[in-house]
Amino acid sequence: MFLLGDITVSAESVYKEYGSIVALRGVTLKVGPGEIYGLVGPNGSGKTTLLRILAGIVKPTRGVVKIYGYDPYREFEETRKYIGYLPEDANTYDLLSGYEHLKLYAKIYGLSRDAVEYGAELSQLGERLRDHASTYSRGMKRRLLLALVLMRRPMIALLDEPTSGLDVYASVAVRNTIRKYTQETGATVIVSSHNMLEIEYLCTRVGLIYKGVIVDEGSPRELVVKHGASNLEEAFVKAIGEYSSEYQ
Amino acid sequence: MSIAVNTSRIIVFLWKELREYTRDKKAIISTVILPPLALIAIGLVTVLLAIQKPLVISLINEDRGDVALQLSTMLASELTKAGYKVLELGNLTEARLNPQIDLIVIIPQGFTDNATSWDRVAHVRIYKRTGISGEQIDMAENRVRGVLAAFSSLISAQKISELAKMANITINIDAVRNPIQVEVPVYVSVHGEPAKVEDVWRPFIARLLILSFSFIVTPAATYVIDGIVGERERKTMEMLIASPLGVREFIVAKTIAASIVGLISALSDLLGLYLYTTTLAYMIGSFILGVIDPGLIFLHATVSFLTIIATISLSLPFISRTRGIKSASSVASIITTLGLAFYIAGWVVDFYKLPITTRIALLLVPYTHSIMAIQAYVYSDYTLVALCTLVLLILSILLVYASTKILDREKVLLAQTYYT
Repeated sequence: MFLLGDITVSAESVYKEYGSIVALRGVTLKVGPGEIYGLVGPNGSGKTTLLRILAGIVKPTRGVVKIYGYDPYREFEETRKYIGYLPEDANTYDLLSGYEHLKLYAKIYGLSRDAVEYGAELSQLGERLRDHASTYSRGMKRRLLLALVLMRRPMIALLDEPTSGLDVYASVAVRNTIRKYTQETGATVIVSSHNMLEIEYLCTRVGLIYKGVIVDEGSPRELVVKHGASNLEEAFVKAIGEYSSEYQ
Repeated sequence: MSIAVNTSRIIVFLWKELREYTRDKKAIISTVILPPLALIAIGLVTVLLAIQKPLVISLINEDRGDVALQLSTMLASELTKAGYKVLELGNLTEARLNPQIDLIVIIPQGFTDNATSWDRVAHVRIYKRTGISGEQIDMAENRVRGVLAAFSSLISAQKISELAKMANITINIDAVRNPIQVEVPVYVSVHGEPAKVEDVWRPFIARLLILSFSFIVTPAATYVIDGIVGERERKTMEMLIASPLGVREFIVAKTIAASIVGLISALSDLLGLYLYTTTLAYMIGSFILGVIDPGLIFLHATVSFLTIIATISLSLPFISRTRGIKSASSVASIITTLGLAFYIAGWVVDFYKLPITTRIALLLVPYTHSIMAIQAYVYSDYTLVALCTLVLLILSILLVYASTKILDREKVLLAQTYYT
């Protein structure tokens, strides 16, 4: 599917075990530049663990993960310049303003003032950036956190449930930011979500993950056609049903 | 994980930590403002309660003789002047059944005859009621004994004068009654020179400072628990861990921030303790404020800072691997209890004078060095002060290094909680 030089993110037979709990059972994944790859799966299917492994903060028990040819866990420092990671339930510091968050992360990443301005623009918080984050709504906090991830223009954005718990308006704002960002930068995005509409709207390719295994993969349209479904949600249910009857 | 840390990132994160702290009004009130105010209030309340409820002393004079009457009058007068409430009751049973009476002094029948005879001794009986104000009762008893000693001295002087007249000799009463006397002791400093007031008070202040370390270890652990476990619980840690900040810089910044906050809190506690002691000292007519040694206070601040770092470093491997603030606090309390035990020992034991073998064994514990540094200062052993401070510094750095070495991103982030 890809030429070797086209792969920005790859995972080969990745396993992750937490004691007796097996979170990932041999995940293999390849994502190319400019792709928006959606990870869809029920709670506990391994989406968060996979994104954490790709982000380099959790070590796989077995298997090989590469980000632009680097191991994100062992070569953590080297891969920081490529990766932007938004955890699912990330939060802001109540007593810091939005601007202070942007400045803090800009300094940690060694970015210029332009990056702070770009982050402010991405957050769409305007004057509210001067207020403490404790006064922000959930949607505003999520926009700020997304801006913290994208302000330095990472070539790979790993977004874990970016619109989880947000209302329709806030979700639309976050989705538009992600789409605009990829169009402007050509970055690779891997996004996990429960929201099939969101996945269909955003993603060029989708991986259906279930019990730590990617059971099917393809563009939203391909998956719908392949499983004889009327939409992605139905295709997902059918794919899991087929996988369960085949392997269990 | 490389050994080097990025100082600028630590400073950036430290800035964030301290900015959050300075904006947290509740934290500032509870750590900086409340401790001195609370301790001064406790001191004042103690003084006020003591004034409001003076000790009650009952005088029972069962003898109607003139000497007994004189003694009874003298006791009543002196004890009232000293602030005690004196009740003159008729019999012992009545006094014993009255729980408000703390001390009973009985001048028994025959007291005058015995006191004025040549071959008998007169006795006075004292009853002390058990209770929580034991120390105050002891002070009252000493006051009674003082009056009795003065009265006894008057009678013996009269008897000696009378004997001298009968023998027709000239005598010095003191030479007969008290031929060997101890002169008022002279304090000498550790250098053998006559001691100044501050030399006398300095060991007490040093003991106070050592005891005040016990106020340091607990808040230090609390701050780092809130800093690390709290950051995990508030869901702000994961993005940081994924940034170039790195676990080592994250932990070092948290440790320094907690140490600075802990030090501020400790100095505030120390000020409170000092004011509390001063309030009580004022009550007993003494003074402490005039003997502050800036060198000792500076040493205390330095040693406190290093002690906090050592405490945090000892707690880190446990704290960072516990799931919640409650379990982290339980684990950290084991470390802080060790510190408390040492500092309470430092209040009563002179580590400086312990046998060398005991001292060597204790040197493995960082808290020993903080105690020794302060005690050595009192003995003007500045080489040992410098050595203890240096060892504490090296131990702190090694402990921080070791605690960050055994932690990785996954351990710090997940503790024992897994989300798939």
